[in-house]
Amino acid sequence: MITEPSLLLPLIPFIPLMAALFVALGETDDAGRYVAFLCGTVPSLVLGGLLASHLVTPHGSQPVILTAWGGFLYADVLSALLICCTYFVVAAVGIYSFAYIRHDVEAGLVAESGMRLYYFLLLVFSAFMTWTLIVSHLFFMFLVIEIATIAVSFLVATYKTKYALIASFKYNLLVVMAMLFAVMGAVFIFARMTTVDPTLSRIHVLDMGKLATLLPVSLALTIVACFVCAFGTKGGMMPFHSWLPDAHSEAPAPISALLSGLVVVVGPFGFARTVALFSPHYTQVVTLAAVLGCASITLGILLAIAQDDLKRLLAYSTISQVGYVFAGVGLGTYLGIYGGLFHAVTHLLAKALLFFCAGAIIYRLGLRRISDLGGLSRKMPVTAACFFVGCLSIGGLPLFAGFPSKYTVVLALAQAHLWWAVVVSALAGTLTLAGLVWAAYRVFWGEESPKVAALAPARHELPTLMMVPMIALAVSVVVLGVWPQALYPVLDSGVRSILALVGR
Amino acid sequence: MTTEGALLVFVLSISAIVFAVFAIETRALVKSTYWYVAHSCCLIFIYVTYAIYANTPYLFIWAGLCGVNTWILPFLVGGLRYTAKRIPRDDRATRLPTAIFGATVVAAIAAVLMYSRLTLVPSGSPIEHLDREIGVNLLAGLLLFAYGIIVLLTQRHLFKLAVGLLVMTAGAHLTLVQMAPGFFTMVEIEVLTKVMGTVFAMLYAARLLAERFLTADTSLLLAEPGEARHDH
Repeated sequence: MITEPSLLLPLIPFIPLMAALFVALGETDDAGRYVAFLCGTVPSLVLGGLLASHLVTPHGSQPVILTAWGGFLYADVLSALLICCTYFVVAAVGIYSFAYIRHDVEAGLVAESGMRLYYFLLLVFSAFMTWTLIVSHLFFMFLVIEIATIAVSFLVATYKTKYALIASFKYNLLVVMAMLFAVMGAVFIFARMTTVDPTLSRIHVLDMGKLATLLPVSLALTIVACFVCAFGTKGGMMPFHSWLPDAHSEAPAPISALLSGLVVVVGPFGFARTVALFSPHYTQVVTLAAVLGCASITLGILLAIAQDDLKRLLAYSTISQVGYVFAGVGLGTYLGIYGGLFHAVTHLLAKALLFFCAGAIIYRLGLRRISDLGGLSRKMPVTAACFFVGCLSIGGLPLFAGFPSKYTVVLALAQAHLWWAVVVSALAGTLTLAGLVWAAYRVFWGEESPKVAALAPARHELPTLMMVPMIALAVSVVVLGVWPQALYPVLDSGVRSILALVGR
Repeated sequence: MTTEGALLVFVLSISAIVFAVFAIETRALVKSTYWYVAHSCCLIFIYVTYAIYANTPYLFIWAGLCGVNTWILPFLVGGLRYTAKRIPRDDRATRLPTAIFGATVVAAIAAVLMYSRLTLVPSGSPIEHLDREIGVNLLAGLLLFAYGIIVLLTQRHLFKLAVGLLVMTAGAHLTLVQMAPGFFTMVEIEVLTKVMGTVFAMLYAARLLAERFLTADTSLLLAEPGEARHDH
């Protein structure tokens, strides 16, 4: 592995932090706030892209890692890829919210001061999400995850309704509890490693692969259990998922997109940095990840299709989809990690798109029960098309982004001879496609419901600022479906940089 | 390590467990806050004892940070006492399942008494001391951690859940002291910052709910009619 110093790395999280301070302290109107928000996210997106392009290496060559602050910060291709995803989705959420949250302010659902807080928290979240991706000290990583969690919990409670406050409380509580398990896991590692190296004063994320080989089996499995609890909860995997449906359904729609798109990605990212490095040495870890992943895939979709609330349906679908990611990454093989990370990216785009579409319906009609909706395609054709694209991608239909990624995970399970998991994930994939297309049909193409007829008598699409992110996400989902090769070099380099940590 | 140092930590560990239990069980929330302060003070004294008797000066910093934590969390505006005073006393509050609670206390004390050999961790690597004898503090830490989990799984009162989280954190902390004393300030800062931030956020939510619905008990909150869940 080639290590290079980088001056660029610390800059990426500082840009949104500066913008957050400007939003919090500056006496600006909406326009100033929007400009500050874009100045905080777009440059970081560009820098993330530059990092990724620099770090991608040809197959077979040594992976490159950038470091800064004496090794306190690092970035490999995986970090750079997720930084790009973070700022892409945060920028999309921010632009979508310009109209969405303003509408809520005018409707009295959010206070005028809440608008400033909203953008402040969004920028703080993006900054600390980036820290999570680049900080090398394991405990500091837990710390920044928590700060991002606190920011998201306030965003979940934007409406300050009873259920929103309880959902926010629950999210905070469960994630902190989960992170305490991660702390315990790190303590066990540290306690053991000090016997090997008494001068050890911190656990470097990049040393995890080496540490995994030095632990006795019982201790290693205990540590894996701690990390599975921690990152499984953060990622919304069954049976640690209970915060996810409530938080998704009570948050404003753009924040639901953020939760499903980005917040849950921290789980698989942590999984790839910790648990996946144990998998090559301990077969039990592979089995555990496959069992929990498949349970998540199956139960998630079964619960999703039972929902009448559109946002809860999408939330349970997220639980199902992260199951694929965890099952793939948990295998610890090249193909498994490749497929898992690929699916994390494609799911992130498609699910953000679906939540934007759900938000569009709420924005226009104030309805979210599927039984209250029907025949919307004539009133909101662009939203209908975007929703359908998202459903087909999540369902794993060819020519949409979800297909190559999901297919790779299933192939990886087959390669690991986990045939039962292949059958379960394939059947659940079919059910997902059927369930989501059925939901899309009921909402957009079924018979027009009386409520829809009363609330939207004529064709009425969304404001341009809400349409732009939706269309951008829909296009990216289709482009990645038709031309998935665009991501192959990035994913290949990312997986090689992870496997290099375990000497493969 | 001298016997008197070990005995001191033994007594303080038992006291920390008992005070944690009181903090959770006391129905009056302000009193619950004071029990939590007592529990935290035990932790500070445990760190100081370790720092002195086990010759681990880093733990003075831990004790200092824990001391800051002990005063900020309960007494700062928005903290435990502030919130406790703003949550109406609720006689309908659901009781903690007494059986689980009692069993935990008995198990905690019995386990400490049965398995402790009154050993403490010297500075540096602790792991070689764990092959035969179990450190008092390690056991106390694991028990507090387990008790915190039980509280989080069984309690329905938001204030008590916040205290339960703090107890669980204290358990993780004590375990850390026993197993990895060299990990020192970064961990302390990490645990302190994240838990403080989270607890303040949680207490804020509890206060808002209590102001509007006159209770912070989720079983009552969810049973009473409020704004419709599905309306935007």
